[in-house]
Amino acid sequence: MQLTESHKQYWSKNLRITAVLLAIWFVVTFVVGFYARDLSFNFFGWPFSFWVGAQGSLVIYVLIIAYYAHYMNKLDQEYDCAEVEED
Amino acid sequence: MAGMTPDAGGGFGGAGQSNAAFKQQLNKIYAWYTGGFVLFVVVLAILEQMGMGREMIGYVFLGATVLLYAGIGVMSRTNDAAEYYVAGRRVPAVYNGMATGADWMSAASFIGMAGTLYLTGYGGLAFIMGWTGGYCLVALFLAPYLRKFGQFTIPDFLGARYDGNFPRFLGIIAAILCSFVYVVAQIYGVGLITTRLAGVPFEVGIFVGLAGILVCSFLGGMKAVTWTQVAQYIILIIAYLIPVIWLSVKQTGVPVPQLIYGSQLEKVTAREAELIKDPKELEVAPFSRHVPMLFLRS
Repeated sequence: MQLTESHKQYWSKNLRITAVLLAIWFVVTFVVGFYARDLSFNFFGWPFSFWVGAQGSLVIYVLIIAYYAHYMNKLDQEYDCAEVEED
Repeated sequence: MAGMTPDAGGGFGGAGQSNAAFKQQLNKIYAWYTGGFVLFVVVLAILEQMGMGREMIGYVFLGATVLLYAGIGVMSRTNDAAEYYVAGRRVPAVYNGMATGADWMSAASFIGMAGTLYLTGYGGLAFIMGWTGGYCLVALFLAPYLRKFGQFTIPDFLGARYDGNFPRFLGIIAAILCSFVYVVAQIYGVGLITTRLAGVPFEVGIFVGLAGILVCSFLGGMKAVTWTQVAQYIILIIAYLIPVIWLSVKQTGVPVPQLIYGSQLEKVTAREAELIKDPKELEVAPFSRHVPMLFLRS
């Protein structure tokens, strides 16, 4: 199928936001995990890296998903390809 | 499961309703359901005060909930392919989230995660981060495209998107591997729980659990599974939150466990250090052998 200019714009915006969110995901998951011993300072009673693994990263994951859904909804509306609510 | 015949399972949204009306009907149904569950618990509490035995209560709880889920499963039976595989793609987002949450909070988390974290410490967090972080990856890479794609399975989607059978094959391997490992853990958990709660032998417990699962999902596919899971979520979230909040209020007066968790953990660690040096503990130290696998089958 022929890709118009707006198709390409939409897709590149999508790729960009995905890359950003994926980078955040990577830092919270693997970077913190890799430096876990160095990062075990006291954080409200928790060792920090343990808290990130148990609670913090989960909060960030949910935020990532929520933000992605919100951003893509707006993008869909902007480029006129939103899912229509049949009524 | 043939073609696009109209679904025969009334009660959970006929094909002709608008999404808004459907959502309102759902809200009403599940509000009544939650009320009914609270009433059920109150009635059982009263019965317990009047002297009902612990085993009877176990049986009643187990039987009632399994019957309930089976009922929902039967009510959601369907012949429509889209309804069977993807619940007609009409499940509102909040309810889908509840269903997914119920999947997360099942036996594997309740028994498996708790045990793994206790035994392995920081390493066990890999599972927690994997389950929710992996969900992140699904949301970014697969879910939106799969929905737009219109077919039903991820291997199908991979085959079409990346042109060929090899991506499809990889998808199949991944799906089977993940499902198999998870299902084994779940079935084991089901057997353990039925054994403890109802006193039946382990093997019988597994078959009872499997029968329950089949009744809930066989007739209605994804549609039945989703609505059953939403019902389970309501019970699960109440069951998970009450003990934790109760503990939190009793120990610190703060009803939000996440906030006081850390300071309580510090106290537990300090107390543990005390106990290890206690003379009574040192007396029995030569006699205790840490054998992790043994207690699973006891």
